[in-house]
Amino acid sequence: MANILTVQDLNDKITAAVQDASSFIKESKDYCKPRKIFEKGTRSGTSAVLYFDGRGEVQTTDGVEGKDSSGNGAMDISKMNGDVKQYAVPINVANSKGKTTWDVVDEMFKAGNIEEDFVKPTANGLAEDLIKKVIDNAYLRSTGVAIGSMANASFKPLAAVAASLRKMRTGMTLVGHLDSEVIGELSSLPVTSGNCFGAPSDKLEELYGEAAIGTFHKIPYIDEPFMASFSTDKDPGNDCTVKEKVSNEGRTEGADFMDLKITGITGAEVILKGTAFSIAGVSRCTAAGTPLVGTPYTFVVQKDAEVSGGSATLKVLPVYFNDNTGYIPTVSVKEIAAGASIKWLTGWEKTYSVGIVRAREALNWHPVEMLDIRGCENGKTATPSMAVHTAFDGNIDNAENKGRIDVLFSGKIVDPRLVRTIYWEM
Amino acid sequence: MSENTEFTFVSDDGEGSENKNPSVNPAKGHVPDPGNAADEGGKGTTGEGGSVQPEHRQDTTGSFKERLDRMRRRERERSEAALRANNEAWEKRFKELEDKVNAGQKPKALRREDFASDDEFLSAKRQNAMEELMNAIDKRNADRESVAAEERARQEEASEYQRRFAERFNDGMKKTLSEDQQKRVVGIVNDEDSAINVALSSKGGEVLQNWLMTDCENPADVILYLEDNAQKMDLLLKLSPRKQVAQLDILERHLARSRYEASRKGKNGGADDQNRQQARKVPVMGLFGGSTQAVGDTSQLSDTKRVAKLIKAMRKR
Repeated sequence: MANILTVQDLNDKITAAVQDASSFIKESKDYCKPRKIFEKGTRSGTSAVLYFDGRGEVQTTDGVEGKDSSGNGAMDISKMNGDVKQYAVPINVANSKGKTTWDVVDEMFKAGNIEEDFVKPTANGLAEDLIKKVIDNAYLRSTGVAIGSMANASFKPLAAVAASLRKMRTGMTLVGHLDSEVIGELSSLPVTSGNCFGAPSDKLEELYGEAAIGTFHKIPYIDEPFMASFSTDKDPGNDCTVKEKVSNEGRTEGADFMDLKITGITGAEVILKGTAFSIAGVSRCTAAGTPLVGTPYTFVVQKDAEVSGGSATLKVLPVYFNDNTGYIPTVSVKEIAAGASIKWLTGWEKTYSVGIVRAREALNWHPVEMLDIRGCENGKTATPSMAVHTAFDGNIDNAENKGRIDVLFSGKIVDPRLVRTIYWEM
Repeated sequence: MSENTEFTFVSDDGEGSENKNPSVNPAKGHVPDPGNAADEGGKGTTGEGGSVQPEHRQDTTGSFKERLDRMRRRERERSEAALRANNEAWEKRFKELEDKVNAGQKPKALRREDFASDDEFLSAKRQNAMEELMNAIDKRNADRESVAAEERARQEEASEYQRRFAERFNDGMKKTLSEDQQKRVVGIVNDEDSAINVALSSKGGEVLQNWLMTDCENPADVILYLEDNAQKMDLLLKLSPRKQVAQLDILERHLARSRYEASRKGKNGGADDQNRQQARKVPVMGLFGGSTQAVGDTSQLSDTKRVAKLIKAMRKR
């Protein structure tokens, strides 16, 4: 055993190293497995839609005997199980690829440093690629933003997002990922009460190894080198308003974005993605759909929007309005009325590094198993959190022996209600 | 030394007997013992003058007896020493014999007190050693027989191997080759001057031979390919055994795949429709670049457990 390296052994080693290097996806939920989406053999690029059930229509008439305007009482069976509407989130399969030749593998194995010289760098490359892809599917998908600054780093934004998430009353496991530089800045603060990370627990150590920094307000914070960053453009002015009414009717189901037209922009030619704002009177709801009055819902611009004639069509995450049509509402209002004033949260012409604090359930992570490639030497390893496939193909004509390593996965924030981002001004 | 003293003493004594010097013998403190054979003998030798000077003669006799006594005692000691040396030599030889023949197995412990005399003891020992020797010889003969039996079993196994090889050869040939190709490959195998037979009998051909006999799933196919590509075979034989096997495994997969592709396109190389399923089968290899099956402790575990184990090992370093 000891002096033979099989493709399976190699694949196991790579799997272990990739799994160890990708801490971002460790606290996640596999929504695909019970729904039998993306089963073994699904190819990269395949897409599907995840459906989440709403809570159904809620009877508005108080009292057992009372009747509503259509003459139905509270105990009327047709009202007990109202129309349950689902909200839909598109997801797809992505692939992180690596390639090598068996000669390279064999040489390093014979030299006795396969783990250090081949497995770790290869696995790190794969992990970096896949984590970047997942973070791209995550850093804008937030419904709450706290602004911090690297120059005046403090733990306040961390406390703010923790409070905001707790207000959702989910009781779910929370986890935070911050850029390594932000972590460095925060760790250099003088240790006073409320101004430091608590020591990591044994459990954290086990889960994240070296990457666990510590806990703050009971949320473990993980060091992540690939947190995304974005920039904002020129100031669009403080007099922006909503141009057209938005309600449940106008929304396209199963789309990633919803259109929000705004007007009154002065001085800006483009509103870049990542820019965050709130709308007067639009508050957020708890995870169960109860409005939290006085807690503004945060909109994040998902795509760069060009300004023309002082107006722009912003792509934002779909919101579900509180109109009792069977959804779990995400905002407190029935509709966003035209003329509602916009309050920008981000500063202008600045660059922000994004930290993500979220509930475990917000992130869908599903490893997709690959089928063996015919005529190749295949190695495959599938654990609940990672599926890695290696295939080597030989050719006697030129004594070549090329290999490819595939990590197929589906990873995306599917429940933005449970996500808060911290923008650290750089 | 002592003998000289004795002799000096004797001659002194001889003279002293005429000098009637009694002072010497009393100093020796010898009291003649009437029961002592030596004393009696002494008496006997000096019998004539026994009555004349009984005290003096008794003295001289005593002295003579004493000398005789000593001589006899010395003689006895000498013979005893020789006997002891002899015994020791035998002991040593037994020991050597024991070590050499019995390889650690001790002979039955014989004890002197169980025998009436030394001779019996010795002969019993010799007998014992002989028995051990005979046992050892028997054992060696038995070993030889079992080795021969093993050899026979090996030969049977080898012929079984050959039988199975022939079976695989024939089956594979019928499945994948056309009739013309079948005739050709049989011709190649029976032709001593065919490129593959020359290569197999040449130096370094044993890896290929071994692989064809044991690991190859469809030898006929491979033989046909190698015969047609003798140049590649020469290159192959120049590689290290490990690489040879790796390349052969690759070749086999290559052939299986091209066969599959050919059958899919319809222009099959002998594989008709009902054999397509068979042609589809790509050799399942447990290993890449190795010929032996590697089954370790970890390979029995589930993916998750294996990976958890590896992560732990990684973190330790």
